[in-house]
Amino acid sequence: MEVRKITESKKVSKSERKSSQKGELLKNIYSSNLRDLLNICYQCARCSGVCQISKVQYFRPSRIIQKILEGFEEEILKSGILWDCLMCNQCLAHCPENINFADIVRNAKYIMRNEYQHSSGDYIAHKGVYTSIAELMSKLEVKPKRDMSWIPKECEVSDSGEILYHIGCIPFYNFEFEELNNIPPTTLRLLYKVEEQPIVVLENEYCCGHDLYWGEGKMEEFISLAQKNIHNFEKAGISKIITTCAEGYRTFKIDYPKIFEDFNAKFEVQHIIEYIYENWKAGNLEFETDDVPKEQISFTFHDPCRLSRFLPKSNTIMMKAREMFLYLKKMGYHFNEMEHNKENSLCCGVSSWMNCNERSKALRYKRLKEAKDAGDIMVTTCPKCILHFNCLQNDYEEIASIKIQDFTEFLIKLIKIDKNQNTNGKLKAEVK
Amino acid sequence: MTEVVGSVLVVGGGIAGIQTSLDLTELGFKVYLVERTPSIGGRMAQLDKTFPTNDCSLCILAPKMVEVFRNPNIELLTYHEVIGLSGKAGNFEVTLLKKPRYIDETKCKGCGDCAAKCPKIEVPNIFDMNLGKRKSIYIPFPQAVPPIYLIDPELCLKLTKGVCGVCEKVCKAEAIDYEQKPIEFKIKVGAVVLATGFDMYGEELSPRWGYRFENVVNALEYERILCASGPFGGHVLRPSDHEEPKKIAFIQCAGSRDLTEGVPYCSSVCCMYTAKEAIITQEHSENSNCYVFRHDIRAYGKNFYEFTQRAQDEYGVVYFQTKVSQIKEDPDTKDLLIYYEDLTTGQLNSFRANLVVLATPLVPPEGTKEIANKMGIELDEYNFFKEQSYFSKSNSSKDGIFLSGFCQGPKDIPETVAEASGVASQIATLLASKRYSEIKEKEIETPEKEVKIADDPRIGVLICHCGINIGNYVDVPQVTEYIKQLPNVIHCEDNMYSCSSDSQERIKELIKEKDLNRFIVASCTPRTHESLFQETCVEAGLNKYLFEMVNIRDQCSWVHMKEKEAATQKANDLIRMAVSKARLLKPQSEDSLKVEPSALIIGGGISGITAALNIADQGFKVYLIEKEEKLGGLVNELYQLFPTEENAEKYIKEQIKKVESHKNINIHLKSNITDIRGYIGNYDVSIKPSESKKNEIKVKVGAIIVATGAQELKPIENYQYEPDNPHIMTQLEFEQKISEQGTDWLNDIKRVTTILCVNARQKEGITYCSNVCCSVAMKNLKILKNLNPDLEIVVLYRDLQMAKKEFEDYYRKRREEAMFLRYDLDNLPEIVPSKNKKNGYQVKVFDTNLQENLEFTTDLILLATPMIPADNVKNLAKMLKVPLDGTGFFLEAHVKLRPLDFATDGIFLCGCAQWPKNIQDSIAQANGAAGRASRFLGAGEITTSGLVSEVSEEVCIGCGKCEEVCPYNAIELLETIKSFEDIEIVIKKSHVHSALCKGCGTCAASCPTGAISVKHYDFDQINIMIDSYLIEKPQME
Repeated sequence: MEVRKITESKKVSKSERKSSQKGELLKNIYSSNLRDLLNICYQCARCSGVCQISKVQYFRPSRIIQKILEGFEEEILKSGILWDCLMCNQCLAHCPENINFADIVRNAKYIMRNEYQHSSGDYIAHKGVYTSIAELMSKLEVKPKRDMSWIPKECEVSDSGEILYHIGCIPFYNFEFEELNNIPPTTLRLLYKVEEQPIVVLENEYCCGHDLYWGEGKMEEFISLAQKNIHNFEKAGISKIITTCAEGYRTFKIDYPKIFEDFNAKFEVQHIIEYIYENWKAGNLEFETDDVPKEQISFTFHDPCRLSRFLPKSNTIMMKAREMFLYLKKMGYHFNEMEHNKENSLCCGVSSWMNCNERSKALRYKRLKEAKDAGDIMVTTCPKCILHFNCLQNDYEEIASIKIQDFTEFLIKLIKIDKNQNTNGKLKAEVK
Repeated sequence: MTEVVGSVLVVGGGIAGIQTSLDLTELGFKVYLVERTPSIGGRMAQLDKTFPTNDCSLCILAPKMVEVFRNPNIELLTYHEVIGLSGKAGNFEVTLLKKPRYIDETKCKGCGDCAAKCPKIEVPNIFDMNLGKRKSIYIPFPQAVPPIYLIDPELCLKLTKGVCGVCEKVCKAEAIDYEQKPIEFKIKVGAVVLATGFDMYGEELSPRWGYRFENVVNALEYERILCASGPFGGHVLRPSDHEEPKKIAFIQCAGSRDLTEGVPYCSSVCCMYTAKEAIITQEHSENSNCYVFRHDIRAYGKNFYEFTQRAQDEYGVVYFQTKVSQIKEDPDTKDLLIYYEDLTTGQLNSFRANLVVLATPLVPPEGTKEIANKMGIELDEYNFFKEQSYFSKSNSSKDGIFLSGFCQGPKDIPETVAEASGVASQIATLLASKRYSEIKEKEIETPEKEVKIADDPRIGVLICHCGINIGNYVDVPQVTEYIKQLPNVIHCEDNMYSCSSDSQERIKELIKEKDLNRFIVASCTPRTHESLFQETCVEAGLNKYLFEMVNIRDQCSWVHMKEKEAATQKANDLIRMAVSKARLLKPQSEDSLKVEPSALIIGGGISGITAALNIADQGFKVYLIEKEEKLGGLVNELYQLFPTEENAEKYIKEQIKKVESHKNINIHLKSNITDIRGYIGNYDVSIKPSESKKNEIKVKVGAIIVATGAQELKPIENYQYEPDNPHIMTQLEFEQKISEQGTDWLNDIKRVTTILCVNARQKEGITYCSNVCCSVAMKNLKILKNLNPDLEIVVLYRDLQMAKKEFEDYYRKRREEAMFLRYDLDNLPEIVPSKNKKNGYQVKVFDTNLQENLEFTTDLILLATPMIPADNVKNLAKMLKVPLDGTGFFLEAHVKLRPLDFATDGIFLCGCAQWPKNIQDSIAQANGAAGRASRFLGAGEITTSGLVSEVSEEVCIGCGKCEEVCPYNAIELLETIKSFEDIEIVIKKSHVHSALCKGCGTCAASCPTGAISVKHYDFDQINIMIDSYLIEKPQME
């Protein structure tokens, strides 16, 4: 058998030296020493057993970790195997030592690009066109002017105010995919059902940077985007950011504060699920419909990884969504769990536009089979999940029947609101 | 100053609370034993068998439970809660709540008539881990102590709806009381012991473990499944379909050592009970095969590691070294699919099991926080009760409140028992001024009447119905008539409950009125009731050995329920046999022996020092013998203590100072023991200083504690080790080197390699796991890293034995400082001098995690070798007449329940003399051994049993067979010179020390000349019972 030699490990890596260029901010989100992030691993190998990609190709996180710990980091990085990681963090959900493997791969991607001259383009789907848009926006001189024609007439938006609806990248996809087009107008309609004041929608909205951060490990570009976004938010005077996108939510809620500590203090980040739940509980909106289906329609929910495994364990979004779903039974919609749900959800197979191939398709197929067993409609709240599931439905007839819907689209027809009464309610509260 | 109170509150009636209570009463303190459930016994009562001896758990526990029940100085408060505490050490006031049983405890006889007739509404029985069922009036399990029923107020029709009331109608003892209310009351105690045990996770686990599936059970549930008195009568069946599972999978670390589950620590006992459960399963059920999914094997205790190996080698249990990723249920068959990675091939596999047993975390029980609040004590980071300091784990954060057993942190039964004795001895020190102040000794008023052998036997017989327990199956009136007409039976009557207090009065009355000189009760088992009746006889002036008991319940009505006539016949036979024996009963006397109030402690290491201080603090004289020129033992060779990182030298010096300045302690350094004679209470010991000029010293002691420690193995010819090689050394040599030479020499070193399990856990030679080497190695790793943060450290390990509460976190942090490579026994690491590097070594190892060969250079190699017995213990063992085990360590009386005793009364052991252990455990054991010994020292005298063997000197030929077979060293061959007409010879005669004799009769059975007989069970008495059965048997019609 081949004999490997453990040699003296390097003290400072090249990329760590390089990091001084970008200054202090990079240190907040990047560490070149993978070993330090992994050394609490005691080789239980549970990760390899639960790893989703390992079901379709040879990929063993536990062995990758042990090799890095034994000083064969270079071999691992050189091989490029880590580009295959789905970044779904199923392993984190099971790890007894709470090792955040996806985050380590993110760091590794940075090193692989900078030190081993790997091109992330080799692993990106759609020839990297979508991430290029994000990367372009990160450049100082680029200021986007976005299409605003989709905004419904009855929704008068503003360029300043308290509440921002961050649309995200959906509009950029529409030259290839049209199924997402309805999400932004639907969301605005939903918001206006509750809100009296105009919602802020920015014409020069920047991408949140999620795909650059996770998909390619482009940290400097991510920092630029964060800086530009914060500048925009402050200028518009907003105090609350609402998103319909799981990735955007996680990025604002968790990753921006890593770079800028006061981000959460300045801006409240809310996912649309939380927003609707809160208003429902406060009595500001009601689930009601005149159009109860004759036979119960069963539906299920695909938890995007960014809303489940990628949030702190204390997060309640998954449970809030379910509380609302169960309530919908009165309106003829019966909620069914898929076999794998919440933090145990199966992966859509693609994150950050990386790695679309037959293996990730197989994973997606598995997920849709589960969905089919659970209901007629699969609701989710991640645009990329929707796109990729829809795409697969074109290829396979047996799973084509499931309707895949965004959370907002699914819910809007089930929400009733008597604006006057609502206003009265508010007034009463104020009088008190 | 507040007055000190001589009684103690013990909270929790599991094995920890039971042992603490029993030892406390023997040390002279009254105990209030509070248990929140209806019976004492705790978790141990729920277990099927105990590792590693596979004793029936309840069988070895029940006698202790009964002992608690009978002990006049233990006030047993089951179904009570502690609701408040005030005061301070020496004088606490405790508020207790008595929960209503709806049964008058003074009247209930535990016959069970009520439950038999209670309407068939059944709920899951908590004692059976909800797998079995019980009625609304119940006792938790048949052997419950006290044997008193209670009503579940939520289920009882009478209490909820006001209907039914059947139990009241059927209870012949009129014990049902639907009007009972909770009662609050206060008691005064000098100290409090918390022994609240643990809970085991089930539903609390995250869903990945599949606990929700029908055929996935936790290990405690599986204990009930295995148990003959459990829900399936001991047949291994799975819950979904009550079919025998062919493949049973045991999953280790199912939630322990897991930050995701919120249990960062190792539960310590799972590796062992899993091996036990697998072995028992293989024994029970021919068709079942067991598979264990394990991670590190942590077998923490004497020969425990070999036990896990035996499971594999002898019983064919298959171990997979991996953690499982998922468990799914096949909905059709209810089988379970276990997904895991095969570490040897890297393949992802699935395994189909019919039943899955999860080793789930053992956690502090529900209500722990509330108790901590009420007591005003702190919890640790895992919510166990926090110990005052690492090395005194029996003390809580508050003076006067002590911790016993699992409530302080994971530990197994022997550790718990040892610690319980230690708690008792520490309380004895605290409350020393009030010893015996609250203890009651029964005063007998009636003088014993003289019964001569020539007197005609006048026998009285009482036959019990036991409610309907006996009466429904045995025709008691008919038996009474039959017995009445037997010769010498002066009186015979039957009654409902012979054990009731009015029955005791009746017995006394009969003895007096009818001038009886023998008495027989035919009822239940002598195990629980003989002493009660004996006491009654004594109160009536009858020697207790003139009482005889017949069991016509367990051995008659219960086993012959369906054959009433035969049952009645058998009752006739049994009682008739007892009557025959009773005619030959003789009064026996019980002697009392004076006990010398001093102790000899052999070995002046940390164990000996601790034991000496404890006994001396209780006010007894101590002789501390050490063969080296200074006290301290192995701690002298340490640099730092694990895991507190205290300076070892400073620590041991403080301890030695305490010993040296103690007025009750007599230290003999550089001394050996040359002779030990005598028996409990009266030992004559000769001590010889090794400097030849000095004279032999003779001392007299009442008890002896063996604390001779152990030593580190030097692995000569292994891994290039040789003494004085500055680059390859053992862990202790490393510590000595930095203590003595400082740390400059480390500057030249870049990479250190630590090899664990050197010469340990082998197939041959030393097969055991020495338990402590891993933690020593981890400590040294940290020392090295602190001294030089740039050092690279590689650890070659097989399994990491870091089983104690705080060890996993310690190890977790070490992971950050070193590279850990796993190797196995088939491919040991190889070390050769490096060709390129001066003073360097080349290490080759097959890494089983990666399944690859690795090679690297290193400048320093630290070998973790096992501890082996101290030198010359064989000689000492011979002098003490106590045994060594196969590995050369001293062998305790019972590995589970008597870990600190030898079978010979009066001699005790602690520390590494028994088995390699760390300082914390050595201290706990030393306190325990001190407690065990001072039970005798404090009593001043001990009473010997009348039930001992006696030697007829004339018949004895001095062959010595009896001495050989006696398990208690109670027999000695004494030499006398016999003069005949023209010759004088030395003759040996067997002599029984009645203080040591347990009356087992082994000597009598082995004596070739019939010179030995056991009093109260002599050959005539036994023969006549057999004759009575065979010859006097009346013909059945």
